[in-house]
Amino acid sequence: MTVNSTSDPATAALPPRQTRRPQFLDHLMRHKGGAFGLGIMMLFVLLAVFGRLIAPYDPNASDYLSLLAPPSGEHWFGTDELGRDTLSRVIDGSRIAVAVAFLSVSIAMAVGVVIGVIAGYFGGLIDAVLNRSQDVLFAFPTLLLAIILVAVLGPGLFNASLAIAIVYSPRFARMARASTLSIQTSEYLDAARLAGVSTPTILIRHILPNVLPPVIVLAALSMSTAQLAYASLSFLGLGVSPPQADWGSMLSKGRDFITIAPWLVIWPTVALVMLMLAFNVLGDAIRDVLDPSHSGPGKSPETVV
Amino acid sequence: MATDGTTPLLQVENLKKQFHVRMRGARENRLLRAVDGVSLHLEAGETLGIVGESGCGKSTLARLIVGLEGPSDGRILIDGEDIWAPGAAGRARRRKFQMVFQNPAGSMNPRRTVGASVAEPLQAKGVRNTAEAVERMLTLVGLDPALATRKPHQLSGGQQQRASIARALIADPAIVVHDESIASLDISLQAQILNLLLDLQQDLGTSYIFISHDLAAVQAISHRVIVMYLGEVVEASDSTAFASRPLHPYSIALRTATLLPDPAHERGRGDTALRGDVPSPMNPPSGCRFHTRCPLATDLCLQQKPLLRDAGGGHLVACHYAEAETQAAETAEEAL
Amino acid sequence: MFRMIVTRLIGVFFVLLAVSALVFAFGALIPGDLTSVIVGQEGATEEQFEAVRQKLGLDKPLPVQYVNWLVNALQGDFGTSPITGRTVATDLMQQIPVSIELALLTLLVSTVIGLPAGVIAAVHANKRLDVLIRMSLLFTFSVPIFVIGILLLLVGSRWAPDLFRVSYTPWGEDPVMHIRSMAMPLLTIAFPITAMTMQMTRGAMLEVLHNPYIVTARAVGVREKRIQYLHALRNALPPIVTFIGFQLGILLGGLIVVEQIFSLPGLGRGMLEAINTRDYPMVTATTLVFATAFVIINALVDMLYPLLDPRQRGR
Repeated sequence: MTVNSTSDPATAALPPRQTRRPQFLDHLMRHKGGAFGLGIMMLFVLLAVFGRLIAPYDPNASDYLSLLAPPSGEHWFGTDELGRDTLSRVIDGSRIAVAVAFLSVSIAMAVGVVIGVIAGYFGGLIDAVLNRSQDVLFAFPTLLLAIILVAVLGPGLFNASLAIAIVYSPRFARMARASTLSIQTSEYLDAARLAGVSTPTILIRHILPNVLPPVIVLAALSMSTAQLAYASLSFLGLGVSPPQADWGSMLSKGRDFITIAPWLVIWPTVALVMLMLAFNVLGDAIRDVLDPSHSGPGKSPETVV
Repeated sequence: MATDGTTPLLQVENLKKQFHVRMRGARENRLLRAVDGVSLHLEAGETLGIVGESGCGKSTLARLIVGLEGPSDGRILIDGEDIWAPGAAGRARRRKFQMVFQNPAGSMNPRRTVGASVAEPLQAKGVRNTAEAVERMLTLVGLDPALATRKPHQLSGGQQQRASIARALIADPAIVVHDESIASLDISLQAQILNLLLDLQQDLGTSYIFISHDLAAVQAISHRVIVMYLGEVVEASDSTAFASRPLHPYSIALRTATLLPDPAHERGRGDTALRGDVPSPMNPPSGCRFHTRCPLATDLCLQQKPLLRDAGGGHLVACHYAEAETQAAETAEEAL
Repeated sequence: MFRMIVTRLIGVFFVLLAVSALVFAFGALIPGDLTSVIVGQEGATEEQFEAVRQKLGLDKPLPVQYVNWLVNALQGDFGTSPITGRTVATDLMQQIPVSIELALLTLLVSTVIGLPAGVIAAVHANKRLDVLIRMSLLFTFSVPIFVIGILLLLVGSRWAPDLFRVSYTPWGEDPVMHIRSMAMPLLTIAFPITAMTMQMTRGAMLEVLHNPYIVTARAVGVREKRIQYLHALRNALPPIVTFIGFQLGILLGGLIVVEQIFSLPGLGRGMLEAINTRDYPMVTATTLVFATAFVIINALVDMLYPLLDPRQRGR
């Protein structure tokens, strides 16, 4: 995509633009954190997808001969009170973790972008109404709101993801709205209207490409917090129901045996932290690649809960 | 000019556009009369020039004519039919207009290729295969068709504007409105583009409305000229008559203020003789809106608003004292 | 200034109204029919069903129910829990103080430790001490509260069984035991909040320290310590204070988790139990209390801002 091939002197001096897709991946890999984050994340994704095949044991099968067994050659991560292999359960739990992260962020992104673009583009009453409702949602602390939503919807993978998505969508809406407003007065929008382009097409063809880059960055950055939010929810008993292996509920159960079988708590924690770090690092890398102007000092404190 | 009795291509009747503006710290909304009763017409294949300073409402007028905004009052007719008729009929009529904007890069989305932007009006009509038409159009405006794959920022200002023109013409509109479309280009480029526009008009028969504050450019390209001041038309005539003998004091001032590479003109220019600044469009002066700056102003001007009257040969002017000033100016010039 | 406070208060009022409506709506949506829970499954006749319905006021349309509920709530009557049999208000009265204590202690600890630590970090910016602190911060931010809690449990069970094996004892009963039982929960939740305060203070201080008037003060000869604490900190305070409001959200979420982990009989745990047992009145009540507290404190912090930053007052 270089400009040198033109004979026009006027364009020869301009620098080439570098935001085409393949180059993005390229840059990401070159970013130190990017490669690392991507790698770990891919590992988990693979575990999530192929876990059942890789895991040494069926995560729900009980080995009655070794209940609460410490880590050994047979059971690398030990077993729990029902004789289930911890390693297999941790691997199986990654399915849930990864799935929820992607699902909740995707839904939040979709919903948020639609609301934000509509509010920004049409303005007026629609904007005011949407804004106010988003503000009310925004006002609630993340976990609290998520808990309430799950209380209403009932526990389960999809409901928990939906609850998290609802909690996160105001952020996306806000960002999408801001992006939309920033190009709202552009002349090419007028030109498009003049050309007779229908409003939906204008939104998709002109507004959306401007909205997407920062939204994607936000999505990448939100994955880790979304995953943690779900872990908290499932820790509190509001996630998937047993016997499905799930890091949060494993931790909750493991609490009871913490003195005699600490491995039940250690390994899910390790997995949790690793995935979260991977998402974090990857998110930062994506942000640096897509938006080099950012120069934040550190992590967002929201990752804590 | 509709002497043969046929309907002009475009008729604008008593067009008005008002905005409600709330000034910072003020209590209520004020009414901004951007366009306050403008009437004009345009024949097929001709160019109507609209001159005025910033704030006179010409950009709003442009947007009203092409249908980007709806009028507060008045009608806009193309081929005798209202462009704001509801439904598909109105939309079809509004599509007969296109506009070239002041900012050359402005009319093209920086994230899309030039070709895609140029093709947009055609695509909106439902045409699938636009590549050929784009190529043809780009060549017609003097651009290398290979530029279609570039992004707007990779083109020079002049090239961008040519591309905008290509885009405006590709769907074969009846009328193209140029809103200060050459104002941001270099002088030499301006001349080139003006020539291009003239050639295109000859080839394609498109009618233009050319809006500018630059009198020289307007006169170069227009068949007829109207002068706007604070949302109203103060003078209208064909361009030759206007060039030789502008009647309204404002037009005269504009012309005297125009820089021309003609030593005689420059020597005789002297002071523009306009006092003060342009009044705020939210609070236009009473009577003749120009009276606060006019060298000819009298009490009559303050009390009674002059209507557009025919000063001879279809030359319309809205001034109580039009001919007097012209004679004085002519005497001054002859003296040199 | 006065006008601003009044406008804010009105705004808060409306938000609270909206919040209560929302909370009520959520509560009403919780699946599970309250009436059947009360009446029980065995041989309930239609009339008994209807009678209970009427008694609970469930036969009236939703908006009316909402108004009734709100009016009662404002008088402190949240109804009776069908699950526990006690009035909701009783439970609330017991749970709220526990949570408040934890919250206040956390705020205290985090500010007392976090603020000076942040100042120190800012003053020694980018030197080894600062870098060390920042790395540990990274860890604390990265890890959710319940993980910290569990890790502390782990550590506690190994090395400090005294603190670990204590269940909650009210102050009135046994002050020492009380402190011991609160120690671990406090540590858990104070950890990340302190880290955040520190991070925030550091950031704000750094920004202020680079301001021209600080350089001037130094040049004029004001003593360094005085510069740091008086001038710089004072000007860095506004964002720090607003940050405290932001922390509140995290604090509230953290309270719930920590109370669960350490079995503290606070509001958070009360809410969770209510959710799990489908205790509809309790759920709405606890949620309302949480939400109200959040909104009010945020509003207070908001109003505090202009006091701290004279530039804001003109608004």
